[in-house]
Amino acid sequence: MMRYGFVLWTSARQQLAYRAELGMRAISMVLFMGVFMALWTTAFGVSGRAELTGYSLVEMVWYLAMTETITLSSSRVFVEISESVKAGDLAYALARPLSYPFFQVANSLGNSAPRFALNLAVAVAVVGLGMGRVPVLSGAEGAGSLRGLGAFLGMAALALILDALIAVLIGLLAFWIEEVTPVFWIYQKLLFTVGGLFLPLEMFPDWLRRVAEWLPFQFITYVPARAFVTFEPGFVLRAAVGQMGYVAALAALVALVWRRAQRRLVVHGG
Amino acid sequence: MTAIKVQQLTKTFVTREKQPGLRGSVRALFRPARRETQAVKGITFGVEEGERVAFIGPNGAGKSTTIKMLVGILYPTSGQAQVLGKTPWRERKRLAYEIGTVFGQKSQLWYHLPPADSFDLLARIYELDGVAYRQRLAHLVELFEVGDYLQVPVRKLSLGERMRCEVAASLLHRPRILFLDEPTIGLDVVGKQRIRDLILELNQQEGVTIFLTSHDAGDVEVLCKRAMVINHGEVIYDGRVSTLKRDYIHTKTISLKLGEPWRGFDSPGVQVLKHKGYGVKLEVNTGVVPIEEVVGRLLARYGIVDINVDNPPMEEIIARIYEGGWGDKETRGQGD
Repeated sequence: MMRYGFVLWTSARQQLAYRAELGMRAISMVLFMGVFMALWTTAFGVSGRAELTGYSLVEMVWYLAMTETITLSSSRVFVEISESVKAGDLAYALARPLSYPFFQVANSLGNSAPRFALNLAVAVAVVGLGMGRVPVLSGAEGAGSLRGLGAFLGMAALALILDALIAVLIGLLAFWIEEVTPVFWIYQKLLFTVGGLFLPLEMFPDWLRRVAEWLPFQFITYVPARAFVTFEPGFVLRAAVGQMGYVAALAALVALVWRRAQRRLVVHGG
Repeated sequence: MTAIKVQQLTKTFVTREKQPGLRGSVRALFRPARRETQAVKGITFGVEEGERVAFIGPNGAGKSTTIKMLVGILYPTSGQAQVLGKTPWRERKRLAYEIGTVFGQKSQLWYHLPPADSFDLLARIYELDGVAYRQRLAHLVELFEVGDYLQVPVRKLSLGERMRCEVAASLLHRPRILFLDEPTIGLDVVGKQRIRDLILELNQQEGVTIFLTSHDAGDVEVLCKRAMVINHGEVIYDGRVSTLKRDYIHTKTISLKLGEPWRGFDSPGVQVLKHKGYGVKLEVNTGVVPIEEVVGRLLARYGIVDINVDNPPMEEIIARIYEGGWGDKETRGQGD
């Protein structure tokens, strides 16, 4: 495990070299949050209500800030994996005493971690300014309390692990299909919809909510953001167990798919 | 002790073929046509520990496929292989602790980080003891003369500098066999020479078995005592490099830019390939006349502005091996 930890650390440091990219990410976060604040302020104004399905305007905006923080930190490691598979240069990674897919999971988390830290800082700053206060700093309860933040950080870590495992799975599909990017698009759209990126699950029709609750996608976006907005120990516990269950299941699936992939490992060239 | 033992190793790739046009695409979706390509056709050989063996052949001959099977990356279609007593594709991870790999076309260093960071990561991956690692690193840094750019991001290094770091990186865990796949590709003459010197030194100091693929006959000449030539997936020559040189690599081409216009040059063993104005390209049979003598006489007569000495391309060497009928078992020499 230590070795994979060091892969993560090295990968995170390499990520910091992409300064321009990190800067662009910060800017897009500012833009997104600006738009969301404007949209939901209008929506709440038009509805004339203080709460929509249990979310106040402030809570709604914090919810979106947190789902965006996670999805904008999401892994693109499937690109690296699928290109390696196609080019036949998995060679280096494979000639090491490491498990290739879990090396890539660590690599992916290393990519995500610095982005996550930056996205979170920018989101808190922008929403804090836009909504008039940063709850964590003022010590108040409610959206973004200290406990909420703590739960969010833990659950976001699990969310990014889930995301990394899914990205590795998508990358490994390159052994069977020529182009894996469309699969990633589907995954991304699932995060947008049933993952609760734009709307919390409470706003879904009942049947869709029931479906979404069984899928892994809500564990990546909805669950950590919800914990940040309203900290309920029962919810956090249940959700964290669900996350860990999916981490275990997806890790097993990655190992299985990798075994299959190795069987048909055709490293081109030579 | 035997380092590598290969018996009847075969690799067949199955590729899907698609007929042109929309109809072809649709058909390929439901009933893909398959085509088999035999990349390696039942090769057999052995390598002793401490040997320096060149595995040479033109592009697409099956060199990389063989090396990938020997390091356990690729499953063979049939046949046996033992590397340090292990079956590579079954015990890849355990074998990885004992072998090193350098793939000239693929970097193992993290592009935006200095080499020192990649070395540290490799030390963790191979579970090297802290003190032993630092000693090993200090030794390699001195040997490879990479101390000056240990802290410079890899993207800022020249190819030659980077390659020295690549080779050093593959040696941190003291491998018993070093597999080098085109280690000098893209390097200039000086860069090539340095890498070759270092590999040689390493073999002599530490007894590391060297298994090298290259399509540069120069690598083979300088580095290896024994050469195996592979073509179309078959070993067509296995013997001493000196014999290979004497029999098949006895020519060199010299491209010259002279101080005066070309007026001709008569010497046994020298053939003019083409000439135009001040430029001339000669083929020298080094078995008949040493290259130094030819160059010396040209220098005296014309003066030389620019000179380039090349080995014959691999394809030509292979053509000569076929002409020489080496493929017959009786004439096959043994490597030492």
